[in-house]
Order: sequence, then structure tokens, then C-alpha cells
Amino acid sequence: MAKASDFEGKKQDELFYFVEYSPEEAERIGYSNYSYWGSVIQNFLKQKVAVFCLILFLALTVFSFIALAIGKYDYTGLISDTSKAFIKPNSEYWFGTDNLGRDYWCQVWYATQVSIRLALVVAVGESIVGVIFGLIWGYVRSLDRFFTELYNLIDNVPYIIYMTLIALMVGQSFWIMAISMIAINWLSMARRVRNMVFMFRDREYNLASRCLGTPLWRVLTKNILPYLVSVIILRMALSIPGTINLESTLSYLGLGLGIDTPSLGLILSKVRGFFLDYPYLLVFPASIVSIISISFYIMGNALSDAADPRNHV
Amino acid sequence: MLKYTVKRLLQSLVTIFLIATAVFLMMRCLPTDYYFTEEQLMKFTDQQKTAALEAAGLTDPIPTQLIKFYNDLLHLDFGTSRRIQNGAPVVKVIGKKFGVSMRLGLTASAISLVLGVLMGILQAAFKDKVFDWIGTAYTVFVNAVPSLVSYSLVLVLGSKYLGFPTLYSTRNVSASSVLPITCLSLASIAGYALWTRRYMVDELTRDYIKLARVKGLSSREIMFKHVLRNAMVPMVQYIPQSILLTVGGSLLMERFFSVPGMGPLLTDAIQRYDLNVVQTLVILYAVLGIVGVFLGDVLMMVVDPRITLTGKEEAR
Amino acid sequence: MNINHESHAISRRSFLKASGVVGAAGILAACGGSSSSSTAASSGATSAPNTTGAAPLKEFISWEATNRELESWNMLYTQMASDMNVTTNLWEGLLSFDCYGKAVPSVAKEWSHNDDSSVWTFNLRDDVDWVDVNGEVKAHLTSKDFLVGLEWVLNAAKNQANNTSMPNETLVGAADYYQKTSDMGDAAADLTYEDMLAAGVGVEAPDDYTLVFTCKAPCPYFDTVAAYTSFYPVSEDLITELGIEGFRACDYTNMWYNGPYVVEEFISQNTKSYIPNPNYYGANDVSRFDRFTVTMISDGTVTFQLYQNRELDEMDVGESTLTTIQADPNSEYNAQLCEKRPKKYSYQMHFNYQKNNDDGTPDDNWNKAIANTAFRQCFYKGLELTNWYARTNKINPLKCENDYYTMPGVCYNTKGQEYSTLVAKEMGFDKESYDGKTMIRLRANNGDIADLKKQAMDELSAIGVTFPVHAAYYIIAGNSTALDSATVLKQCFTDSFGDDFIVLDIKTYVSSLTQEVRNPQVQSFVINGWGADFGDPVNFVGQEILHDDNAYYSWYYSNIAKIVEAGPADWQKDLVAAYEEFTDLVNTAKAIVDDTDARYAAFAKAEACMLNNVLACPCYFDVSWTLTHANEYSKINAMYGPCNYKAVNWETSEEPYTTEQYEEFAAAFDAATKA
Repeated sequence: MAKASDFEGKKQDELFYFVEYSPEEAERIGYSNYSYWGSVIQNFLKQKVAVFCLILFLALTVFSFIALAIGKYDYTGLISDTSKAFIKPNSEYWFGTDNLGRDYWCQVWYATQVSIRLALVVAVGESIVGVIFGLIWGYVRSLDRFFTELYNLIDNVPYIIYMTLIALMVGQSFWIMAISMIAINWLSMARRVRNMVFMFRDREYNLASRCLGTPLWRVLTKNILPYLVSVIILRMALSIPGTINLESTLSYLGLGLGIDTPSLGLILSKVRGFFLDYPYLLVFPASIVSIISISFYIMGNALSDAADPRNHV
Repeated sequence: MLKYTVKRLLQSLVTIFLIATAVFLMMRCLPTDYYFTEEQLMKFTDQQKTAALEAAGLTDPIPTQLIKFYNDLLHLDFGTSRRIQNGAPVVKVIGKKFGVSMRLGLTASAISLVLGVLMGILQAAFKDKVFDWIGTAYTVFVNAVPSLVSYSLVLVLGSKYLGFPTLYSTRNVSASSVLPITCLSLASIAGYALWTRRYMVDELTRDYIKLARVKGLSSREIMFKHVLRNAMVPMVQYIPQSILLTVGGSLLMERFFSVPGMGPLLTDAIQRYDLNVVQTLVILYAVLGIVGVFLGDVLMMVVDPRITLTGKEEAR
Repeated sequence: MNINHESHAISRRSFLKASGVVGAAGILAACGGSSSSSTAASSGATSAPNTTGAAPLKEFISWEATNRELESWNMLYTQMASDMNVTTNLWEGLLSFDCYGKAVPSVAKEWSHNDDSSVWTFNLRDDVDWVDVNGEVKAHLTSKDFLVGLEWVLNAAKNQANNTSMPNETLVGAADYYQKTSDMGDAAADLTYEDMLAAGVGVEAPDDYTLVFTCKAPCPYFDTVAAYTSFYPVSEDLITELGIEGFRACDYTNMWYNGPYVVEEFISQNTKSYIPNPNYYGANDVSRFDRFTVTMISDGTVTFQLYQNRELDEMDVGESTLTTIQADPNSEYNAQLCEKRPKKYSYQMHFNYQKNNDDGTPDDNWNKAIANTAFRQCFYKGLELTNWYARTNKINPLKCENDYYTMPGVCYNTKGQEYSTLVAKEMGFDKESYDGKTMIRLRANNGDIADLKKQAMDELSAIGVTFPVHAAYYIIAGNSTALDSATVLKQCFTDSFGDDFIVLDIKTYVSSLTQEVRNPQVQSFVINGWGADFGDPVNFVGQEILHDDNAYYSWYYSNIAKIVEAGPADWQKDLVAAYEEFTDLVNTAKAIVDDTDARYAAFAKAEACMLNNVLACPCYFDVSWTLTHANEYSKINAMYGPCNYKAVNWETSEEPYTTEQYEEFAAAFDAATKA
């Protein structure tokens, strides 16, 4: 492309000239440096709100570590002293104190770490398991009946039953909680993937691919999976608020994490009784939960749009 | 259609059978000492314990118990409750609570369906305007805040500042149902609004809408006659299921407002090792879920005549 | 263990076989004196008692926690206190209690015993009728109904072994009859009360209004036994009408009532309301509410809100509500905070002498430590619990202090001295009294246990104990109140012992303490409340002795009985010796059957021995605060029996009671009990 400035100060006859014939140039094929993930990132970065959310979430995560480091009290060394109960936030207690006079700042940030970790572990875990089994479920016809019954079985038995049995017979800890949540949630991811696989399995290009002898795993990973990325990402992002919500309900029922791992859900369920008189007890953890959930909601939508190949130029 | 329904019914029976078996076996995994209350454990000798377990048929080998369970199921005999309400038939225990949950659940569903869809329509109509933003903010916020917190807020604010009764009371059903129904509706309004908006916005970019505009149809006509009708198709499939599931009661809400409904029954029954109640409840929930999916398919067919269930590919 | 709920407290209705006491036991001085709250019963008035001139409430709304919902309406069948709290309003037995805990006439109008207290005769009222839920008379109650009731309880095929321990331990032939029905299996369902009489069970009905019980051994407190639900009446016609299954599972719609109220409405997990039974025999003797409602509440956090809306007429004030009220000096509720009487449970820290690790191997670090006397004495002499008491009673924490094993008020000697004052004398605490500043048992050495601690650490290090010793304490999962209490207790441990000595580890169980903690023996200690079954100290200290199959705590909490059975390790020799000494003292006391004062003095000696060796460590009484329209001091307050929640003769007020009024009630009550 020529810009107007290129022509400034040039004489009339300098504007046109002959191009010499070059066999190499003539043979050159137009090359687009398209890369799938590159486009995803590019498209994602175009969405300012989503980028802001990503930064916000990362900042929150990083800050939860910094916060614990700079806080005046150490979570493990908290001392209960009821004479200091319900002190409003001040320069000594940045988030105030709880009903036992313990610093609230370190409790909230510690719990934030636990909650984020749990939500991410569950989201990633259920995606991995769900995608693998979803692909198999969708592609291998003979397994459809089996998986469908398994889905019905797990989906129709209330999760409270599983959680109670697990808590009674295995115990309560971070990893038990994470694994049991993954074990229950992967099916809905698998179900979505399966429905998508159904749609793409018998398209002509896959038929051709199969005729050419492409191995099964390659058909799955290269031909089908890219179409699913947007769905998977959206589902993953939305599972994060879901996990936090479910965890708080389970904590309320006594089926949540162990007492040495305070989560935001646990804190929220505990301060319910005080928040009218001491709103700060509710505001801090609830804001953090909301920030996490909203960030993921917006990021998920943006990433899911960005991941859809149809939106790529 | 009839043939399809029968086939579907048979499949559902198999599913329910599997679920019943699974729950039966799961509950038998618990040590039998959970069968007793703390006070009984304290006072009963081992001999008395064994006698009580034998009387309840819990010492039989699992296959024997399972066969008896199937036999009872075939005769639609769900047994009697042991701890929830000693000796009362399970059907009676559940029946009473079912009605309460159903009333609240159906009211809440109706309200949230109307409000939610309306909100979704308005959001779609004023896409990227202030109302859309407010609606989206509401949706996101309701989903982001754990229900434990939002219910507490409704409870305290509603009773303290608006003067509604806090606890559900049979003497004053309408006033005392306001807060529980609000709680139930909060999330489902957001859900309906979210999906209505999403599907309508998708639909708005379709070519036939452009054509309709070109033909000079009014905005209102386009919205209701074309966009909404088509946007409802993917949504109606989930409506029966979500209505039926609200009938199952809400654990947290019913706990908070002392609503004598189904919600807390399952956890109570599990914790008290009331096996018959647990089994019956799970079967009931499974039936509700399966019926809901079936009704959803039928409803989808009604709304969109192009869809047939009897075709070779099942509509999912 | 949630110290703010009664539900974990245990009242065991079991008897020690060899007990035989002579003389009047366990009964307070006559009800009377300055508090007028007892006048209604005798004056024949139907209006509520009134000491403050306030307008009494016609209807009353109380509350109960949802996890204590009624499970069975059958008074004979249920063993749950939560059920009896309901049915005591509907179904009456031989005796009831008054506000001082003294047994008073109910269906039995008078009772007497022979010289050695082994044969008891009850004369029944002749005007008691059974009514149905609508209050219509169905049948007349006679002594036969008590025989039918007892036969039902003793028949394994009918009552499924529930509630048998009381009659089995006291009545002639009862245990044999139970065994017989148990052996017969389903066929026993056909037996009737005549079969029971023929089998020689020690009960008979010479006429329609006389009932005679024969005890295995002299039992001077048999009247308090007979007040228990095992001895409640039931009409044979009702059992015939409903069938055996049907009666066992009877509910308010088909059961028959003889109590002050009938059920107006019952909605599980929501409400119960009672209205007066129109044909109640005592209609002219007691005051009743026009309607008494019990609301079920799942979440303590809403009770204050409900009370403010007058959706409740009374509420327990927890720590957070109290903080809220006190934070606002203008709050009208500041002047309305009322301190309640202690609940009827004496809470103890029951050590586990045979603790296992989670993997089932013995935790010898703890086992060695707790077997050391100096180590245990640190708990009694050095554990400063004021902050922990404040969880229950923020205003007067030390009102919760419990220094003895036996619940005060269980029995009095012939001089009118309360039994626990005898123990106080043995312990040297008789000159000390509540001062609101320091715990009585810590005053001696200012709570300084440095020497004891050094001694314990030296002795224990020598046998390979590593410090700090970790003590596992279990609470129910998901209960933030319990967790807060445990956190405070942990802090008390740190402050009192130092983290180099004993550290409290808080752990959780999901559903059943028995199942998940006590059976696998993974706890270091359990804090548990014990409520009396009858008026004798043996009911308390007898649970801790060796060589007795009925000694509940020895077998199931401290596990000391199991240690003795299997042979103690070297380092347990001292511990077992202390237990043997204590057991001998208890057995000596038990053998004194002809002199109440000497018997109680001997028991006090035994209890002091136990406390000095800290075989179990006394913890607290449940003394909490309330906002209320009812005078707690007018309610039935028996240390045993099922009657405490009977809503009769309550003094109530349209205006909430004030702190001052309650202090007056308390003073009047104390004066009356001391009289």
C-alpha cells in the first residue's frame, strides 16, 4: 500500500516504474500465519472488560499471598480473646475482628486461597475427566447406553447422599472434597461434550479422515476437540461460582471441608448471624466471592467467544 | 408417538430400577450401628441390638434384602419410617411435606417464569442499553453470591424492614410464604432471564428477522411473533424439569424459614439412617427428573412442530 | 460437643443392682415459702400464678431446635428427651414434679411404702379419663391401665426393648419376664398383662384405684422411679383398636390423652400447638394456656429477630446476641436479660485412658500422660475456664463453674444439707463461695500449677512421653458455635498449660459421637453432661467405678474397665490403684443402708477421692441467659423424670420480665429451697 506521504516531493515520472519478472516471486504461495491459539489470545485481548477481569483475578490471587505476608497476624497463630470481639476495621485489624476477637484479615485471605484452589482444582479436574469420557462416550457407539445409564444414575441420586457417605466413610479434607466434587460434576461436562461429538462425528470431513486411516485419538483430538473448546471453557468458568456455592451449602450441613481449612463458604455461613450488626463481616468475604465469580463469568464468555473458530478472521 | 412413549417408559423403568438398587446398596454400606440413636446405643446390650436389627431385617444377607426390597417396590409398598416419624408409612410422611413444597415451588416457578422471561425479553429488546446492563448485573450477582448469603439477606431484611413473618406458618400462609418464595425466585428469575436473553439475541441476527424488518413489521411484532417464539424452543425443554425439581423442595430455604417441606427431609433421613424414607425419596426425585425430561421433549415438539421425537435421532 | 445445646446431654435411666437405701432420699423440703408461684396448684385457681402484677399471657409461643423434632408420640416407646418434652403435656403417669423438683401427685393422689421401702402402694384418682384428639372421653382410667402399660414395656415383641432398664433393675420378676418375651419372639405379642402377673412380676392391682409394686431390694426412692415413662398407663382398648404395630406408631390423631393438653395442630419441622384438654382431671387445680405453641427453628441466629417480632415469647440469648444487645446502651433489652437456672446436667470432662490413634494403634503418648496423677491434677487445679464459660454465660461466666461430680439438688440429707455441700466440705471448698472473679477450685494456689507441671513433665519424660502432649477433642462438623467454643477451650489450654505441655487438637465427627469417636476410642476426652435418674449419689459416682457391668462411664468413656480387664501396663498401676481405692469407698457407701446421713457422708468421701485423683474432671453447668415472658422459676424443674416441659402453672407476663424481677425470683427460690 502506498501512503500519500510516499508521493510527496516525487516527480510525475518517478511515480510509475516497471517491475521486473521474478520466477521465485511468481511461485510464492500466499501464506497466512494463522495460529489457532494465537487467534484465541488475540481475540480475547480485544475484549477490554474480560482482560480487566483476568487481571483482577490474577491480582486477587497474588494479593491473597501478599496479604497474608503483610498482615499483622498469622493465621496459625490466632488467639481468641473475646474482649476484642467485633472490633470494626482499623489500622490494627484491617478487616476488623470476628466474634472471638481474632483478626479477620488473615482469616479472609487464607480462606480466599483455599476457595480459589478448590474451585480451580475442581474446574480443571472435571474438565479433564469430563472431556476424555465425553469424547469416548460420543464416539464409541457401543458405550452410549452404558454412559447414559451411568449419567442417569449419578445425576438422579441427590448429591447429598454421596457427600454424606463419603464424609462418613472416608473423612473430610481438601482433597477428598475436591475429588468427590469432580466425581460428581464430570458427568455434566461429559454429557455436553458427547452431544457435540454426536454433531461432528459423521460430518464429511471426518468420514474422509477415517477413510484415510487417521487413528481414533487423532480424529478426536485434531478434528473434533477444537470445535469443543469454547463450550468446555464456558462450562469450566461457570463451574467456579458453582463450586463455591456448593461448598458453602455443604459446609452449612457439616459435610464441607475439615475445620483446619477455612473456605470462604465456611466463613460466610458462620457470619450469617452477625452481619446485620457488623456488616463488615459479610462485606469482605462476599465481595471476594463475587469478584471471583463475576470475573470468571465474564472471562468465560469472552474466552468462549474467542475460542470459537468461526469468530476468527 | 405411542410406540415411542412406551419405549421411553420402559427405558425409564430400567433407569429407576438401577437408581433404586444403587441407593439401596449405598445405604447398606454404612455400619449398622448408625441404625440406633445415641441413646439406644448407650442403653442396649449387644443382644438387644442384634434383636432389633433382626426385626428390621438388616442382618439378612444383602441379596435377600434386595429381593425383598424389589418385591415391596413391585407392590408399591415403600415401608414405614423409623426415625422421622416412627412407624408412619413413608408415603404419608412424604405426602404431607410434598404438598407444602409443591405449593411454594409452583408459585415461585410461575412468578420467576413470568418475571424472568419478561426481563430477558426487555434485555434483548434494549440490548447494550442501561436496562440490559442492570439485568446482566442482577443475573451475574445472583449467581455469584452463595445462596446461603442471599437467603440470609432476604430473611433478615424482609422480616426486619418489611415486616414479613420470618417463619412459615399455616395460620397465615400467604404472608409467611412471601419471603420463602422470594428466595426461591431470586435465582430462577436470573436463570430464565439469562437464557431468554441469550437465545433471543442469537435469534435477532438471523436473516429472517432482517427480512421481517425490511417488510416493515413493527419492532414489537418481530419481538413477540418471531424472535420470542423461536427463542423459546430451546428453553421449553428445560422448563418442566425445573418446575418439577422445585417441587422437591429447597434444603436451605426450608431450613431457614422452618417450612415443613421436602427439602430437609433427605438429609434428615440420611442422618437418622431412615432407610425407607431415603430410598423412597430418591426414587421420587428420579421419577420427577425423568418425567420432567420427557415432558420437556414433548413440550418442545408442541412449540416447534418441525421437531419429531419419533425420528431416528432422538431429540436431546 | 456443643455446649450450647442440651441435646448431647445424657440421662441414663439405669440402676445399680445392689443399691438399697433407707430413709427419705432426694426430696426437697416442702414446696412453700416466699415464692407464690406454687400457690396455684393448691388454691384450686385456674388463673396463672402471678407475683409481679403483670397481665398473664393467654397464649404462649416457645421454640425448639429442628434437629430435636419429635420422632415418636408413644410415651412408652420413646427414649428421646425431645419426644418426652412434647408428650408430657399430653400423657400423664403416676407422679409429676413441682417447681422445686419435688415429686407431687398426678394420677396417683397419694403413695406410701412399707417399713423397708420394698413394697410401694399408690392410690389413684378415680376421676381420670382418656380422651381422643378432639377431647371426647373414650374410656375411664383405672389401675389396670398401668398393668397394661408395664406389660407393654416389658414385652420385647411389643416395645422392642425400649425403656426396660428401669423396671428390670427394680421390680421383682421384671427382667425374667422381659427375657421370656424376648425368647418367645413374635409369639410374645399375644401375651397380656394377666400373663405378666402370672409370671410373677412385682406389680398388682388389688382394686381399680390401687397399685402395688414390689421391689427386688429396698428402694426408698422408688417414687421417683415410678414417675418415669416406663410406668406410664395405657388403655387396653386403645391397643386393641390400633393393633400392636399401630399403637407403637401411634400419633396425635389416634392416641388417647390424659394430660393437660390435646394437640391442636402438628406440622413436622414447623409447629406444634396444644389446646387444653376439656376433660383433664386437674382442670381446676392448675393453670393452663389457651394455646401453647412450639415453633421449630433450625438456626439460632434468627431467634432474636423472632423474639423482637413477638413470633416467640422466650428465647435463649447466645453470645452474639448478647454482644449485640450490650453494644447498644439504649437497647431496651439490656434491662430484660434474665439469668436462667442451671440445666439439670452436670458436665464432666471424661478422660479416655485407652486412646487410639486414627489408624487404630494405641496412642501411648497420651495414655501414659493421662495415667499420671500430677498430669491429671493439672486439669483440675490449673485449667482456667472463665473464657470458655463465657461462651455459655457471658455476663456471669463463673456461674457455670462446676467443681463436683454429682449434680447439686439431686438429694438432701436429713439435716436439709444438699449433697454437693458435703463434697465441698471434703474438698475444703466449704468456706468459698461465688465471687464472680476466680474459679473456686483455682483459689488455693492462685491456679499456679508450675510445680505440678514440672513434676508431671519430669515423671513422664522418664517413661518416654514427648511433649507437648496432644489432646484430641471432637466436635460435630459444620456447627460454627461448637467450633467457636472449642477454639476458646483450646485457648484456655494454651493459657493455662502452655503450648509446651498440653495442646488441644480440635477434630470433627460427621454424625455420631458414639460411632465415629467413642467406639474407636480416638478421643482424649469427651465433655458430657449427666442427668440424674433418681435421688441418690450412687447414680452419679456409681458410673465411674470398677468391677461393675453397669458402670457406664468406666466401660464406654474412660475405658478404665477394659484396661483392668485386660491387665494394666506398668505405668497404669497408679491409676488403677486410685480407681480401686475410689471403688472401695463407693462400695462402702453403698453398703450403708440404714443411715442416710452416714451414707451420703461416705459417698462424699468417695467423690472427694475421685476428684482429688481427677479420675474425671468436672467442667460446667449450663447456666444461660434468656429474654422471656415466662418465669423460669415457676416451671417444673425436676432433676429426673420426663415432666420438665409440662406447660402448667407457668407464670407469664405480657411485659417481658426484667433482670431485677428475675433476681427477686432467684432469691425467693433460693430461700424456699434452703427452708
